Amino acid sequence: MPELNLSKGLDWGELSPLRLTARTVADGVYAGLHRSPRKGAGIEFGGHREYVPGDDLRWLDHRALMRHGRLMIKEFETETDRVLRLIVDASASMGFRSERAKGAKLAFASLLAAALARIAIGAGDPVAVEWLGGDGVRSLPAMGGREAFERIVGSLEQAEPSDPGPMDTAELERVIASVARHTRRGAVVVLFSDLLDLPVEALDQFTTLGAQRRTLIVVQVLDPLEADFSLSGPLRLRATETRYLVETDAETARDGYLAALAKLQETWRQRLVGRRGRLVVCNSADNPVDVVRAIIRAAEGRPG
Amino acid sequence: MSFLVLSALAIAALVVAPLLAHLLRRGRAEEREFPAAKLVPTSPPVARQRTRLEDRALFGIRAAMILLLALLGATPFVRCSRLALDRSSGASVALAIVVDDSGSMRAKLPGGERRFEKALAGAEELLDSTREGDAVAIVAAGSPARLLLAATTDLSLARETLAKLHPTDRDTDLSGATQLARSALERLPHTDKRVVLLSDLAGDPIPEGKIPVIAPLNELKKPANDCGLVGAIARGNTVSAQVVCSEASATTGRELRLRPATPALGPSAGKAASEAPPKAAPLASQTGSQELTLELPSDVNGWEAFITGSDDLPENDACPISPKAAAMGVGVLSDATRSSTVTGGPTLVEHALSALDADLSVQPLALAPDDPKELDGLRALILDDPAGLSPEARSAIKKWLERGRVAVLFAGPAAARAQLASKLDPFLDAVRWEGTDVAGLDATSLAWLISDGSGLDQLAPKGRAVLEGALPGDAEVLARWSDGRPFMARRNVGRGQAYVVGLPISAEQSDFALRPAFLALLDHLLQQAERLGGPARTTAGVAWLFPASGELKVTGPGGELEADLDSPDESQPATRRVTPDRLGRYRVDQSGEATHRIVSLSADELRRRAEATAQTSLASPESTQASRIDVSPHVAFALLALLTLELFVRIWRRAREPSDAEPPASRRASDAAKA
Repeated sequence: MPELNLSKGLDWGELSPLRLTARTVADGVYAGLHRSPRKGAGIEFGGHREYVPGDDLRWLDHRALMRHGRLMIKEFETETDRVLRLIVDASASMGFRSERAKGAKLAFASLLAAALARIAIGAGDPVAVEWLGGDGVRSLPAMGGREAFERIVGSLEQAEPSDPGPMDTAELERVIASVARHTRRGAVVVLFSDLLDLPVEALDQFTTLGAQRRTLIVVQVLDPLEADFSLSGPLRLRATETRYLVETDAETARDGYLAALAKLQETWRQRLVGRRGRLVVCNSADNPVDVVRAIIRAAEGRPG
Repeated sequence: MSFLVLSALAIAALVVAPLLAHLLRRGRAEEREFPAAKLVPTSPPVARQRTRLEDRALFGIRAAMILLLALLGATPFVRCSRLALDRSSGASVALAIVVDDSGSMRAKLPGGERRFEKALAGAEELLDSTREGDAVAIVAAGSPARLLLAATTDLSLARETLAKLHPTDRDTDLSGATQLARSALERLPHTDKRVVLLSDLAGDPIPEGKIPVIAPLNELKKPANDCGLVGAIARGNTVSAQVVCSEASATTGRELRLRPATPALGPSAGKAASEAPPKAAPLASQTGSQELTLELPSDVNGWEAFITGSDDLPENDACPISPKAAAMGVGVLSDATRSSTVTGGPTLVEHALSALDADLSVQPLALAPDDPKELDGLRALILDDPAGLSPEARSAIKKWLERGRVAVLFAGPAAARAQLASKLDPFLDAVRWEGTDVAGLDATSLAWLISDGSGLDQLAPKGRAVLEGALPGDAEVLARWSDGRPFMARRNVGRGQAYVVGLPISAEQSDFALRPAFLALLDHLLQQAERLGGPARTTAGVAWLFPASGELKVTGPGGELEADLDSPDESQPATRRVTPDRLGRYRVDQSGEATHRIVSLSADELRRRAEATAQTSLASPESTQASRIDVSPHVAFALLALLTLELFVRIWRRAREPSDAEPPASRRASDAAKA
């Protein structure tokens, strides 16, 4: 377990080099996965799903209503561009890595983002990159083609966690507004974050992106230590961003911590479901191939 | 202390070992980075509890066990403050414990404990260290020294005796106590005999002897800081008080005052409370005795004198005021023309009384008193050859005698010439005077009075009173002439005694009044008067004697006193003895008559205390060995007890702990999540 380390730089661990690792991960994901993740109005019938408030009543299946007494919506696959917009949280807490992790949380999130980008680009969908916090970060507009992957990887490799300190709410609003402005109807928005130190307004603002039939995927990237709290003995823990210090006993606090974490995840999950979104939880010790598959399944609306 | 002992005691340092083990085991809670810290619930009490000892009881028990092990290993003999017998020879010991219960032992030690309590505790510790076969005798050193318990091997008796001992205001009699203790051990077969003196040594020097005397309690020898009131006597409208101080510093800021007497001390208590107390007299800053005078506002019995402030011995800072009449009143009816020396001056009997140097108030009488009130202030009456007694005088004397007084009639030629109406009742009937050529007295018959009776057999009087036939039937002959005729007789009249002597005091008839036997006779009479009538003022520890018959109740500051039946010898009638040992005023109810007596402190007791440091050399070298005690068995027993206790505590703790087979809820949840 590393000591409190506030130095700059990202611990890539065994996830480096990103370009090759991401390619390997993307290759690991089954071929042909890139059927359009977007469902809605289009040419080819895509199936039924339950009606949720806000759906266009034009696609209500009256026959299913008459036959089964249930409100069902007809979905169709389209041939339009399906923009994949990646939002990566590069706040200070994302630079954390424990001994069991393959790399820092930001490195793992970058790997997942790069792999997704490669898959999307391979399927002909443009990919955009936005950042929450971070130093040396560079946002990329939606782009496709062979060079897009290289540029996205370059942007991901240059990013470093920002200095400790709470995330600015204004910056969050700026990023959300930018994403809302530049993301077209039916796009897929994927947020990579640990969700630990986001401002309280982050959930509300992020879910607003669910309008215009955008698909929202939140990937919570945790460190294995954060996932199971496998600590012992008396503890003095300091939060990376807020510098909040807590003195506790590991055995006594474990149940409470896991319950609080589960509650946080459940809050995000409930709010995202209401906006046709999904929450994918992973930790930096997981197999990235499995995680990418889970993200794709979530984007397709299939159970993870 | 040897190297081995030091090394063994160094093991005691291992008492910190369990603590060190705990400190090494508990670890340190260092600060670490954790991004999700805000989700972690705080539990500082539990966190701090980890840094504390988990089981204080077990830690305490184990630490105590290590200490005891070190003590056990150090040596079988460990010095401690307890008194114990040192058995150098291993044989049984004959021990005489002399406990000083004098007034000086009531002084407080620097720690607040009384010297007497310390001495008593020391005596009990000595008893605790005795073994089967040891003989113990207990002697009290308060004057007069008393053998409280003859040498015995029954230690329970010794403990009971010690339990009955209480502090008194007696004078100190260390010499007598030591001799008594030695005599109690003399005939015992033990080879190891010792006298342990638990005293402040404020007394006369210890006499030399074969049996060594040990004074182990050095803390008692420190001089007390005390001022005491020896007595306060009313003289007219003033009070003269004698104050003795052991240290000049004890007088600082203190003064003599009067205050209303407490109910326990005086019958008139409260009567004087309304009166304003007189001015105080400050104590002079000096060691030893000083006499102070105060104005007495009213009745003597309503007030008591006291010294303001406090010292080590507050009990002797107050005393009741004695009336001047406390001196024994002796009435003397003697014809100066016949019973004086040729050079004139007082009569021979008055000379003799002054030679006795007793606390007497001699009142010469011109006539035999025929009014009972004239006899009220008298305790003894000496009638020298009166020419008969009138009926009124006989009646008054008889009633006076019945109240426990003593009168003596020296019969001579004048008494023999008494008229028919003037009898000598209640002494004797008509007496006859005769010229005689008898050589003198039968010295052996006077042995009870004076041991050296040589010369009395050559008294060669010119004449003598013939008592034979004149004495009442109940009269007892105490001495005889060499021809066997009665010379001296005594008869009891009520509680009193009437003596008759067959010679007058006049030197013209014989030189009896000039011989030591005459002084011895007067002294005996005064003693009898004091015994029967009781002294008005005595020092603590001086016994009061009362007739064996009749009602008697003596009440003092400590409550009612018990009377012991006392029979000194066959020639003396049986008496009851009451020994007051507390300062204050006592009430004596005797056959319906109530009198008051005052018990005061001996001035010597206070003066000797000032010289206490001079006595410290009496402590023998053995005293240091008396504080050596074998504690090994006690330590081993305590160790065994702790071992058992630790076992029970561990079993109890284990029974309270949750079973290992059932994991905590958090672990179950984690396992389920992994599955």
